[in-house]
Amino acid sequence: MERANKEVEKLGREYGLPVDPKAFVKDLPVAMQQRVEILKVLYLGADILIMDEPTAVLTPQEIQGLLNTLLLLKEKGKSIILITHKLRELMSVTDDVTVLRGGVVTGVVKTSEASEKRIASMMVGKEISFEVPKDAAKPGEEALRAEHLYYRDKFGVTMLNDVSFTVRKGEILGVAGVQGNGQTELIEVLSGMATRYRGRIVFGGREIRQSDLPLKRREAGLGHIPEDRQTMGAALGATLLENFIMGGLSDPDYTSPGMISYSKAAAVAKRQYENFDVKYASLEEPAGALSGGNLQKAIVAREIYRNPQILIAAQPSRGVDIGATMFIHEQLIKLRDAGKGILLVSSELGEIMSLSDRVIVMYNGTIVGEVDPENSSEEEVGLMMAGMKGGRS
Amino acid sequence: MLDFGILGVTMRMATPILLAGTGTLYNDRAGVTNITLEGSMLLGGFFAVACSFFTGSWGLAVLAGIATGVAVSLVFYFLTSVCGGDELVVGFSMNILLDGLSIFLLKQIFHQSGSLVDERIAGVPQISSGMLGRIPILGDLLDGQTWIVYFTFAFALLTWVVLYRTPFGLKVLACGENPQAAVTVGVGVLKIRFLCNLIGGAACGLAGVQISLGFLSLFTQGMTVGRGFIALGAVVFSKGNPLRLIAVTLFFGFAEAMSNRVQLMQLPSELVLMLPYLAVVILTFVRFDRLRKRTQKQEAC
Amino acid sequence: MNFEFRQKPINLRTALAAIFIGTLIGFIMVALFGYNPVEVFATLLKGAFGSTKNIATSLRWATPLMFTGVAAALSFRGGMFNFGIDGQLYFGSLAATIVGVTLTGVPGVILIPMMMLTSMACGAAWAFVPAFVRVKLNGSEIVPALMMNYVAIHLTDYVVHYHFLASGTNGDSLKTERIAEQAQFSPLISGYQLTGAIFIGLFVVLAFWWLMKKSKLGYGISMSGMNPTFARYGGIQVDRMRILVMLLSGALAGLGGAVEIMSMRWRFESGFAPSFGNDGILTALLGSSTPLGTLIGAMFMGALKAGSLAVERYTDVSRSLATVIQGLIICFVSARLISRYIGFDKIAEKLSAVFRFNRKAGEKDA
Repeated sequence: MERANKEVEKLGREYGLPVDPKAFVKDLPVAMQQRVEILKVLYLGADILIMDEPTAVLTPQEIQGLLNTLLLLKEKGKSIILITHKLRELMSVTDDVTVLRGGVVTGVVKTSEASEKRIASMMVGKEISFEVPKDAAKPGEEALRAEHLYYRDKFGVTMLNDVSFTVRKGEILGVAGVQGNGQTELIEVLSGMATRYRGRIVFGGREIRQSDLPLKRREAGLGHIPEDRQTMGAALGATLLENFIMGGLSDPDYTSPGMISYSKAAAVAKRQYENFDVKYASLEEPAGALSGGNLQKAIVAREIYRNPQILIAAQPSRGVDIGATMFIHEQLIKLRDAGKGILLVSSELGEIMSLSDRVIVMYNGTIVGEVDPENSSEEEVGLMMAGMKGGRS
Repeated sequence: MLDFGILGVTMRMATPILLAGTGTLYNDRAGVTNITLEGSMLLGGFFAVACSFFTGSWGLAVLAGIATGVAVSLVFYFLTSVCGGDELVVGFSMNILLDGLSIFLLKQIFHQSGSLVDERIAGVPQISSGMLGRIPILGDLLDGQTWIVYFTFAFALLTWVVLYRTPFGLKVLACGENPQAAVTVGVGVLKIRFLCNLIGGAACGLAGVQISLGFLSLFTQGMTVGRGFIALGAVVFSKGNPLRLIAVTLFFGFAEAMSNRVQLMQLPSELVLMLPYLAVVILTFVRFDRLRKRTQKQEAC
Repeated sequence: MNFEFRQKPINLRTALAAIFIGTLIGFIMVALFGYNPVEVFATLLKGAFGSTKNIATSLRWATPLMFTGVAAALSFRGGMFNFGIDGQLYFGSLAATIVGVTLTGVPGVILIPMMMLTSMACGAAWAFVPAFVRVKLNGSEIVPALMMNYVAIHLTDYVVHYHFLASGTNGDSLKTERIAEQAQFSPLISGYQLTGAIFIGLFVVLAFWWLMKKSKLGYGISMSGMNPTFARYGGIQVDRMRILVMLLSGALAGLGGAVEIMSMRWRFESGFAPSFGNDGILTALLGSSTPLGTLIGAMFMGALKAGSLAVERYTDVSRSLATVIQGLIICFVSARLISRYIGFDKIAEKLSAVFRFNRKAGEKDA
């Protein structure tokens, strides 16, 4: 053991990544944990390192330290693949850049020959039209207000850092940003799935307390299409009918005090699923038998049926085919026109730009800017998503 | 009531729990949930007695007990890892199955129901040396125990070394913490888990031998009286640390020793028999309450 | 250790295959010891179904399992593993017995429900400990429940020994006086072992069905067990469901013991219900925790028990043969992929091929 410790220490010094081999990983600050990870692969003799979003949880100083390390490793003859959406890092240490979007390579350039703008445009580009025909929004009073939200996750990392915004009735507010910049946590906090946060939340004039469970929030008018439909949006082992009923245990159409009439619920579910073009074999089959797109439509059908005043739609088109996506988009517009407020969270910028009436951009747990989608380009927003200040507010 | 003799009883009572617990510790750390301790100990004890009956040799009996435990763990491994059975369901059913099997064999082989007592059964000898016996305190602790007792504590200490200081141990820890990460570094997770299963089974079998042949030499149906489950509780409380496991099992062993002693007094035996089990429940409240407070503190902003 | 448990639904084919293999191994075991397996199993079947009296006995043994089986099934549906059914049964039924032994003046129509309610309340209280550990302390409910079993057994022994011992016994066999006559059930047909208890059992199964199929509570329980995250997201208070399910489970366990005493024993005796808890869990596992499945499972286990008692009476084979077979069956029910290795699929194929062949030959001749 002693020999192993010494070797690790030596390795650490050689690569400028000093660590204490005897420390427990869980006690180390995140930046140190990352050093351990790097040392681990080096110790095993790696010549090629693949680093996947390594700076997600680092402070600016730590980021600089990591970038210096990467340069040092490069000098020592290691090859590094750096996966990142942060342009500044990209520009400062890489030699070549390959841009991937939707599983397709959209561009390969030498870093020295490219500009941030060019790379950003390759990241977000013009894609198959997400255009949805819609009238101008007629926003009314406030549907949702968030004030100074702070949230730290169970690892102690600050995921929401003073987030404030408003969604009005009859409006779609889009939250743009690369996955992992606090959007998931924001939704957890708003929906009541996470309870230890600081800040103020108001649903249409009704104050929401930190301790209010999801039930209370739904009663206050909240609807929620979750970003992970398999873990949170449905019970794959339960029937479609049982899935439909979720959240609607007070619905007078098929419940009475203490009881549920599954036959009445089936009639309602059938009608709603038909309206929402959900293709299924029988209401008694497990939800897991549905395709991704159909399951998503079923969830959308359910949530909209509950007649929410404010609907959180998280990654609504993720893993969903084009046809279903277009249908879901139409439904969201319809909901907006009916005077409801929608908070649309998506890492698909095209979706955000075409559906939203206003767009805010999240980066690193804060809102770095707000744009009017009619008057901004995707490149501008892309830059903001990538941490470059800019764009018009 | 309280003399240093109770230390010896404590060690003796703690031994099967510590032994089965240490074996199961390997399973626990490797990410295997094997709850067949109770049945494995019981059947191991049975086959040890049976072997001793027919051969008169306690050495062969020990081997029989260990072999039984290994066989049980192999069946468990087959049903869960190979045939896709749920670990809890299979473990639970196997406990019932093994208990029934011990009763069945007791009847069919020995034509007894209830217990098997016979002078032909050779027990594991207790090691008593005059010199050791005269050392104060330590003598009471160590004198008159079977070698299984010494082995058990050595095994527990050795496990600490194995887990934290050997490559095999590190692989075990990796399998339990994050099997996916372990696979990326080239650890054969299935193989490690298989080996841990075997170790656990062997330990449980030997624990059964200690119970049936380690003090009195007999077999009674259901003679493990829940000690397999107490060991399970001990493993949970130990949080995977062999040293903490030793402490916990000594605590349980002490509770059992006390219940033995106190029975000799005027207190009703039934109440006193509750002690070891109550000890587990009380420890649950103490330990988990502390854990809950710590997680709460972490979550607050 | 990972103590999370979610039961996967069992299809009929798997259950039948498991029963087949389990029985086969039982066959082999019996043969190994020199007995004629066909004879032994014939005795088993006769003991279970051979006469109306025997069928009544099978039903008699199925009855307590309706209570403990539903108790287990309910807890599984809610995502909890109630290992403590035995302890809840003993604690609840002793409480009921004490009521039945002390309040001898109360008319039966009041006394019986009083005893039943007492057993349910006490059984639920006993189940609260593991429930609390799981929900409030975030620990596993399995080990505390198991420990409470042993505590209950010793505690009830103590109470009987020192406070309610039947006059004339010397503490060797721990039993209470008989409960008041008006609380003693009598057999439906004299000489038979079956009483009105079975109707109470059927009622419990029916209530379980009604709960899960018709009520909001049942929906909440079911979803909490299926996907607690989804349930929480949809507004169900999963913690509350978990505690409730354990309390109900404990109540049913206590009730099962009380009914057994009122119908068959007429007094509390130490160790009178040796395996009702475990058998109940096996029943629920076999029946996939559904109301109908649990009922059929209880009937099956009851028949097996009656048969095994006959086997022990008329042959030299121990009744624990049934226990072994039961354990094997549940193991195989869970180990679905075993059909790959034991080749049951192939056997089934060959069997159906034989049938097809026979039919074809018949058609040709016709």
